[in-house]
This record gives sequence, C-alpha cells and structure tokens, in this order.
Amino acid sequence: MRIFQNENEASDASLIEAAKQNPDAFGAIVGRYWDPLFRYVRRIGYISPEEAEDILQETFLKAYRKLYEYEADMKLGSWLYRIAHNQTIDTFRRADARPKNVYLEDEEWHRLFVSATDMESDLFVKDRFAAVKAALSRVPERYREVLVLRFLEEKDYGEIMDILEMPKGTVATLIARGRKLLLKELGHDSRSESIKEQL
Amino acid sequence: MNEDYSKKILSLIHEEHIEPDPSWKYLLRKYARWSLVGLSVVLASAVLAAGVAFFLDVDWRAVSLSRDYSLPDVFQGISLFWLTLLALLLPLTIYGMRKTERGYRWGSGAIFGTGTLLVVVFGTIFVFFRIGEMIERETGNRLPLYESREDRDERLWSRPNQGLLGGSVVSASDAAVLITDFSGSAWQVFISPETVVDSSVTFRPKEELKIVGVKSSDSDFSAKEVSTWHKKSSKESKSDDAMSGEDRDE
Repeated sequence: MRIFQNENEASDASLIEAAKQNPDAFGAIVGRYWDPLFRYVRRIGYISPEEAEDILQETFLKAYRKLYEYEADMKLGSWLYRIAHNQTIDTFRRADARPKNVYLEDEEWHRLFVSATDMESDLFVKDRFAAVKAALSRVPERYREVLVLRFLEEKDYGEIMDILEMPKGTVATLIARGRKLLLKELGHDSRSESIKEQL
Repeated sequence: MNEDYSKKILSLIHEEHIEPDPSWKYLLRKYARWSLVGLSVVLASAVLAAGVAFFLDVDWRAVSLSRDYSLPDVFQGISLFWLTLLALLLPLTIYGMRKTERGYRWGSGAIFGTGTLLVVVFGTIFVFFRIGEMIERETGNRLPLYESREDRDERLWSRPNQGLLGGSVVSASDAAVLITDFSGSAWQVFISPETVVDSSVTFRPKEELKIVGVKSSDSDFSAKEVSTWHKKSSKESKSDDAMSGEDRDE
C-alpha cells in the first residue's frame, strides 16, 4: 500500500511521523535506506549477502520498535546507520567473533586508499593493488570502520559522531591515526617499498 | 528489489504484530537519566560546599601558634571524608552526562570541564547560603566516626606540649582556673596580669575555653591568652543551652 504520492520527495521526518501512525509507511523508509545500509553492513562485516540481509532485517525491525526514540536533531540516515552498526557488532559478538576484514569491491579498495592517503597517482595504486588491499586489511577494525564511513560512505564528522556515538575529537583522531597506520602497514609490505617515497 | 525487502519487513511487522515501543518509555528513560545527572550534581555540590565549610573553618591561628608547626598541620583544612565523596560523585556526574542521549558528542575535556563547572557553581551557591556548613554540622551530629570541625578543633587544642589547651571550666579563683581537657584530664591554669583574657570569657563552670600558653608540668599550664570556645554542633549547642538554663535555675 502506497502512503505517499512520491516517496522519494518525502522528508525523513515526514516518513517517521507517517510510520508512527501507519506501519505501512515504514516501507518507504526501508526502500530509501536498504541499499546504502546493505553496502555498509557488508563493508564493515565482510559478510555474505545473505548474512547482510539478515542483519538488515533485524536492523529495520529494531528501528521500527524504536521509532519514538528517534529525534529530529539527528539525520535519520545516521540513526539507521547506528542501529545497523550495532546490530552487525552484536551479530559478531553472539558468534564470539570480530569482523576480520572489510568487504569491498576492487574499485572500493582503491577509492578508500586514495581518499584516505590523499594520493593523486591512481596508476600507482592500481599497480600495487594487492599491497594496498593487504595493508587496509591489517589496519585495526576501529580505525577501518571510521575510514570506511568517512571515505566510502562519505559521511561528515557530525554523522560519524552520531553513528559511532563518539565525540568529534575522537573521530578526527581515529581518522588521522587510521591514515598513519595505513601508511605504516604499506611501509612494512615488501611489495610496496617505494610507496612511502611517493607519498 | 528494494520493494521486495520493504514488503518482507512490513509482512514481518504485521505477522508478528510488532508495534513501536510507547513514547513514554523513551521519555521516562530520558528524564530519568537527566534526573540522575541533576541529583549527582546537587550531591557533589553539597559535598563540595561541606568540604569548603570544613576548610574555611580551620582555626589557622591555633595552627600557627602551634610550637612544632608540622606538615600535617597544613592539611588540617582538608577532610578526607568530603574529598573521597567528591572524588566519587564528580566522576559519577560526568559519567551520567556522558550517558545522556547526546552525551557522546562531548569531548572528554568539555564534559569534564562542564561537569566540574556545574558542581563548582552550585557548590558556591551552597556555600553562600551556608548549606555546606549545615550539612557538615549535621553529618558531625549523625555520623559517629566522622571527624567534624568540632572534633578537629578539639584535636588542635589538645596539644598542651605545643602550647594549646582546650577544656571546660570546673572552678575558678583570681589567679587560677581548674579545667578538664577533652580527654578528661584536670589542669590547673594560671592566670597572670599579663594574660590576655577575651572580654567574653566569664570563667563560669562548664564554660569551654581555648588557652594559649606554656605547659609547666603534667597538670599545670601558664596562660598567655584565654578565649571562649564557640560550639558549632547544634546538638551540643542545645545541650549547652539546656545546661545554662539549669545553671540559671540553680
């Protein structure tokens, strides 16, 4: 059942208000945020599409139960990303595991590295793709997830604060340290001895 | 594709009769958190004010007159009791602020600074209205193990070897006063023409005195200055009042 004439134009706030009155209106929120959250959950969890779907299903059901918790001083996207992030972590915790890597398409590995290191030479990264990928995998999880949010999800500092529930200073520190660690990891990789010189 | 997921989620919501949690639940949680923050700010401020009252009331003259002025004397104004309570309550306040719904947005410095500032501001107000003094006094009256300002002063004035003697008058003659100190020992205090006696001193039995002088034997003390002891404990003040009444009746 369609609640809105044009769901794409409805604001997040109006979607939430409508969903409080009519559960069917919640479908528009799911439709709007399923894809970005699906990518995000796969990126931080390094999981199969089926696992990501399960996590997202729980995420949206939880979001529906918590509708009245949402306050408009936060972007709806940030709120949903936070629930998805926590749901992903909870899933791993229940399985007594931690995300060991991030799941990224080849193009995304490349984009993340170039953005995080401000590298201008795309060719250089393409030449040493395996080294870049290995270095990113070795960066600890807490830095990786901030780098993913900043450079792949393209979230600003305020949004990252709300998603990960940490102050701006901590977000900035994690990004700066994440970058440093990435470069350090590359420095340790025998396949990328010349990278530091170019950086 | 997304429509399929939307339908799936909606059918789950309908099949399992899932409903949004009521808004009062979140409001209650929100206000409960802020109430706890408010309560911890008030408690920490009250503790700070009591600690300040304890500090401001140190008889620094007694400390300075003490013959072997030592390092611990410098800390006479610091009550470990209030300091410990403040050390527990201030972090609790900051933790409470951090746990409010947007508390994570505050940096450590900002949240610590704001929490401390709140406690200092309210603490100053409590000091100004003498609430800290009242709390300190009541704690002294109700907690037997707590060393109140009164206990501290008694300790300060129970050092005859260092020239400080406190106690209550048993009897008095022109040249000497018999007093019992706070441990119950009897002292003969000699008053000479050079002794400076505060105008409020009456030497009536049970009057409590502070005496600066020199110990001449285990039970003799030569006074240089004599002043009255102003009680801070309401309980003891009341008992004093009662005694005064009895004296008058007699």
